[in-house]
Amino acid sequence: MSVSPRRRALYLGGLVAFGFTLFSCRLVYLQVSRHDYYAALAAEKHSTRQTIYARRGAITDSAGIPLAANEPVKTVVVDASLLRNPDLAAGILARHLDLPKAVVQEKLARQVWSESKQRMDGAPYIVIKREVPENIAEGVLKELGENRLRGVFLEQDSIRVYPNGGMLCHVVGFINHDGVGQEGVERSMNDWLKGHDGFRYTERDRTGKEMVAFRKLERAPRDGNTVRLTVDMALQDIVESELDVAVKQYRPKMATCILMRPSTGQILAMANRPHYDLNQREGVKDETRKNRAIMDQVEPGSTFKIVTTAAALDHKLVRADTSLNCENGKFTYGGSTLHDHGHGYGDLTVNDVLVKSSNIGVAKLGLMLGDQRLYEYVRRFGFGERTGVQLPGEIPGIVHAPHRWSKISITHIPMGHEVGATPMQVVNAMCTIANRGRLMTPQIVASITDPSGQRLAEFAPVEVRQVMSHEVAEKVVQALMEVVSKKGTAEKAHVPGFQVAGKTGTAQKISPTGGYEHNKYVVSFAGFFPADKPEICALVLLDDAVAPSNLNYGGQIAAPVFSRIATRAARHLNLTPSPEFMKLPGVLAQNENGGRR
Amino acid sequence: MSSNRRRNANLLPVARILVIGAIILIFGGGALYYVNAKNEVHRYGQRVKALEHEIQSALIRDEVVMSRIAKLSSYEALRKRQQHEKEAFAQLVPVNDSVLVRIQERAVPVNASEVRTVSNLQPAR
Repeated sequence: MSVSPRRRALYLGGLVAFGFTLFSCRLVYLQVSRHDYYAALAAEKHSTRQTIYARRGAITDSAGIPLAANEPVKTVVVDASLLRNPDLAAGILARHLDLPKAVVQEKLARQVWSESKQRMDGAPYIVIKREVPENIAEGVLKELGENRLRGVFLEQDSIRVYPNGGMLCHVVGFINHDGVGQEGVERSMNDWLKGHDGFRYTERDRTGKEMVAFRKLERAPRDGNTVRLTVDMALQDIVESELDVAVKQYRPKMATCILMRPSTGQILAMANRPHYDLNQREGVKDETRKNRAIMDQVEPGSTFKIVTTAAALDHKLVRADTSLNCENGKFTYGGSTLHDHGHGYGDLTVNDVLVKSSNIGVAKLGLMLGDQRLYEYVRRFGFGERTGVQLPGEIPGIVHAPHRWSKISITHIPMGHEVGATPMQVVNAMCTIANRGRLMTPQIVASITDPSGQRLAEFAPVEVRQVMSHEVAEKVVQALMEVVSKKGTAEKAHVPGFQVAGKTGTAQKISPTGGYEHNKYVVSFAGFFPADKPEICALVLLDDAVAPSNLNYGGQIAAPVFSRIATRAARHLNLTPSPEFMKLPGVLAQNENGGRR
Repeated sequence: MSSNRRRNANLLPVARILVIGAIILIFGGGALYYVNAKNEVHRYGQRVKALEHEIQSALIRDEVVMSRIAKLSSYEALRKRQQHEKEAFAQLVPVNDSVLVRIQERAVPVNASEVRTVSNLQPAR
């Protein structure tokens, strides 16, 4: 049977049309029904999300000197599956990266199962060394290029560097491996410093090369902000060097010094001993990392007498010239006997109670005040609560409420016993006197600026409260000025050319087993100058200084340190000395006996 | 010439060829231009990437230098240098109070050319 050509053409056409219809159906199935699935598959293969890392902001001192900055470094990574000459590569890497060749060879020999090759193959991601400086990394690349070696890659990374090493370490703090602040300002200001990473969705060709033309959604990174501190590094240098001298001389268990500007509450310097290098933190003990200025509490001792005296004067229970019987150095109350240091005193004015640092005199002021009023003033001075300084880990100290006081507390608390205070609280209380009764919040952060230099936040001084009247504070200042004279306990705190006011403190250390330890003292001096218009208020505190017992007093150990710091600080701040205070008695004695110079 | 003869003659349909040619040229040319433009986009993409890399490298170099300056000009470095140069001939000497002269009063010259004197009422010694 023969089929006509026309019919044959028809069949053929129909067959072709059917074939095309089948293909069309498949096409519709793939493009329409399975579109989402295949689009996702393609996107998975070619589209990638790149993270664009933000830079962490810097920390600077008040003059803009960097205290914490970023340094770009490289991580050297090897794809061993691409490495043709592992031995040569190991030699080059070992030489440049200062690693033993055997160690590099061992790393390069690492093998993993390859799915695509269905056999064991060189590991595709071997970290040879992290934190490699840029110049060294460039050297590696150059030599690898000269030897036509493939498979070694450099990943961009960044490390935090602290140019001043151990200086101001407890304030600046540090970050962990994830770039999160762990201590100090790095921690308290982490949200401002960290910045926000950006991202970019992009496509890659089959060789893995980015196709820039197909970049999609993109968000630029927002670098971290710069945090400017109130600290003046020149003053910090003075404090640290003088503290080192004192530590060398007296070998205390710990030492702290804080410099503040009383009118604003700004912290100009803060140093603790022991300390550590922020760039070499491995093996540093927790105790060494502790910022003792805000995390440690001590019984403040006699520096606390300013609180009791101010309270008694403010309540008009006494006047500065009111006489108090100091019982010739021995006073029994509630079954406990109080003594005055050295020889006892008979009648002393309230002014002289501070000047001579009479325990009995101040205990009698406490008795006049009574529990509630004394407690109220202790709290008004900021003891028993955090000062609010922008540093992490601050403790509130211990001030028991009157219902928890023992019978003798009313005579012990006025002289700084049975109270736990941080050095920060003590210096802030002295600042309150210097500031004529105004208690300020201590500040360590001055301002925050964004990467373009625009100021985002400025921290204005914060007044907490007026603790006492201006007149009462003035009377306390007058007494504290006499403390730093031949008549008082802090002759050695004198600063040539300036009228200094301050108070010494010598407290026996509390024994962990109860009671007090013999011959172990916390000696301190808190003072300010010039007394009429204070520019600087400082506290020097040494815990368990090694000194003969007749010299182990705040006036003998801490006061000279204060004097040296204040003298240098005055020069740095260009304060004009007054001729009338240039050659006060006691200056030469300080230089001859305990002074460094 | 008879009509049969004319029908068998292979006359070129010039007009139609020209139209088709023009269409092919337009579409072909358009397609080639499209491909070229696309290549151009990719080329510019690569240039963008190279420039980005250059900027990044410059930023990194800048940051490295800044970090180095910060380290070398730090107080820690100054202290180390002072320590190192303690025994050296040309050393950094701290300015002590003993070598400071404080001028208490500013002397006002009568005229500009006059040699001015300063007074040291109470030198800080």
